[in-house]
Amino acid sequence: MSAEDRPAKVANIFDVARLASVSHQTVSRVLNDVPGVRPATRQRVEQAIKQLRYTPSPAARALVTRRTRMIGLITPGSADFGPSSIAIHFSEAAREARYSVIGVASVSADVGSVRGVVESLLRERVEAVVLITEDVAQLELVRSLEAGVPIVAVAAGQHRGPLTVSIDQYRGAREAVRHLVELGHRNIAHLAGPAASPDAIERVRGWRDELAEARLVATELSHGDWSAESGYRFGEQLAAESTTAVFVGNDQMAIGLMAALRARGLRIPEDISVVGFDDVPEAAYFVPPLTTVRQDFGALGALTMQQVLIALEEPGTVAESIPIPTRLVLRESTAPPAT
Amino acid sequence: MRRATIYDVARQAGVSHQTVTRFLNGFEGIRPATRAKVQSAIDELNYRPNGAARWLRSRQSNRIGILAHRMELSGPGRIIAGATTAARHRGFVLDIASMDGEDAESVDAALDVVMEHQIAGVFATVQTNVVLAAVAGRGLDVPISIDSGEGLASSGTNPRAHPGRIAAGHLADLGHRRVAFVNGPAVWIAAAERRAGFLEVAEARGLDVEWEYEGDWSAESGYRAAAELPEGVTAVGLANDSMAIGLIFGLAERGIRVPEDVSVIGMDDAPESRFHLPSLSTIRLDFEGEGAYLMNVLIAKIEGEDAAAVPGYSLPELVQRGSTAPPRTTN
Repeated sequence: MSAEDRPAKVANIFDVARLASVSHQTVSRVLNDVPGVRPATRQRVEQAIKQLRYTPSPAARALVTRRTRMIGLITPGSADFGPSSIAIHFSEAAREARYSVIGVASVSADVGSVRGVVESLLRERVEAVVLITEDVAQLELVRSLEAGVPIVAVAAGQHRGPLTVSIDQYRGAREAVRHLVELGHRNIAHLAGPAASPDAIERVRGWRDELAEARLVATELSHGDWSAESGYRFGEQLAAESTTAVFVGNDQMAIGLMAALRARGLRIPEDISVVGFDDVPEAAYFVPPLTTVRQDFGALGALTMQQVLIALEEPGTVAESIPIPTRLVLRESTAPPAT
Repeated sequence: MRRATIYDVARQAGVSHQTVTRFLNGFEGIRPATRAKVQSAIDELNYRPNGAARWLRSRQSNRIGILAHRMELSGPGRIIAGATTAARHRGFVLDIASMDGEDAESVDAALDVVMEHQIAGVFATVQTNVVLAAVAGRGLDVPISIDSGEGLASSGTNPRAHPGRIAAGHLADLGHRRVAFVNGPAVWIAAAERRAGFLEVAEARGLDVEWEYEGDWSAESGYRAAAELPEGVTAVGLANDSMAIGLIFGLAERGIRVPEDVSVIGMDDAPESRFHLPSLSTIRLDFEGEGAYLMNVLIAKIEGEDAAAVPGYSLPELVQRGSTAPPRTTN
């Protein structure tokens, strides 16, 4: 969707400057009532301002046009690879569509805090809100608010709505587990992300369903906190005599797990196979290089912006978005189980 | 960076400050040539009288413009995470302008976007010389927080040279003499300063920096560096952990063991660095603390509080793990 087929573009300071044939600094001086502008110049600038119906602040402009071209973005406020990658790519897609992004971190998931976050964005007169969340409760909460603007959630989930975008965590997980099953593994553990994370929930579901389809029992399930440290702790207590493979919810936990297994004298992949999720840029240089599931965060950012535009321009249209497929990247951390 | 004053304008225009005042007050009896000189000095310095600055600052705005570059990298991402959380705690929202900080046009466009809105201040993790020049050239008339290590000035030295200094000192302590340095892109201020710190201490301690390589912060660029590392070098310092991880992997492919044959030390202490094989020696940098500090300084400026009262963050420190060891005596 191009920005060009939208209603008349809101004039900015550069449009005024161009029309008045002055620099944008001069326009700024006129707007700010800074002396030193010749009367004739001032008159020309004022004429251009009037002609373009330019107003200096987005808030004031909104009163005229009802458009602020601003989108609110709620992020988890962590530096985790997934959420920050999504935030970057969404911001870039928004900028390409000539929208600004007003961001705020959600520091807590309680009702009052979440409402406060959304309200702080509405005060900025955002036209829509994008929510990147690590917490299903927060997702439900934000959706239940009468925000008066479209809210697009970036979250995997079984009950997709028209205003949800996601990467196909479920199929990604199934593909990873299927790879292990096809190698001959029968006892495949899962180290998942936090139990409240929409992505983690979907990956658990994928792990469970793929095992069920292969008529295998889903035995060992643990939840980490996405950190390498939590992967290490899981690796210390993993029942290594029965488990031959672990599907891990992200690459960071996978590297922690591999370090713990090494410390116990277990070899990867000879004794235990490991599959991660994300494909962080370092994954190819882990020892051993990590087999993992690549997520296309660039495509997710673009899809998010697309949903925002649909919600703004064709409200009421049911345009359910299709989750973006993942890709299994085979490296050296998986092998058939020792016989 | 300080804002231009009326005296700066006067000096630049080669006139008295009374003339500048007359000009600003709309006094008509100024010769056209003088008027033009004052006008161009005002433009060049981006000078704004206080009244206009106050108007632009608009006390009602609780929006902070943030210039974001390469957020996907561990360091910048963690600085922004710390800053974002600090902003939220003080009730500010962020106007995010993502940009390519190595491209002047992109930085200018991002500044345009931010300055067009009513903002209370600008937060810039000034990661490159390009960003630094663009921000300085604008003479922004709202409070600005620039990552320049200023808050740690009490430590007596530039904290951004610390990581390089500590890394070189560690390699010298272990007894290495023939070392190499793999840097990030030279246009990055952090890269230039980490390298300067490394070279300074290397020279002071009698180390020969026999080889240097400019990477792009990625593990892949560290891997490429490994292919070219010359014989005889017994230790390598790298400007971040990702490149160190790539380098170690590449050395292993050449049959060079770390730390038995070559010691490797990174910088960052990313959360997973201690879980690599070998466990990575590195310099711990408090990025989240730095981001929170810079944001809190900015908010103090906006609110008229004492910026000097904002608590600092942790200084860089050596984290010695398994990737560094004394050189082999047979070498």
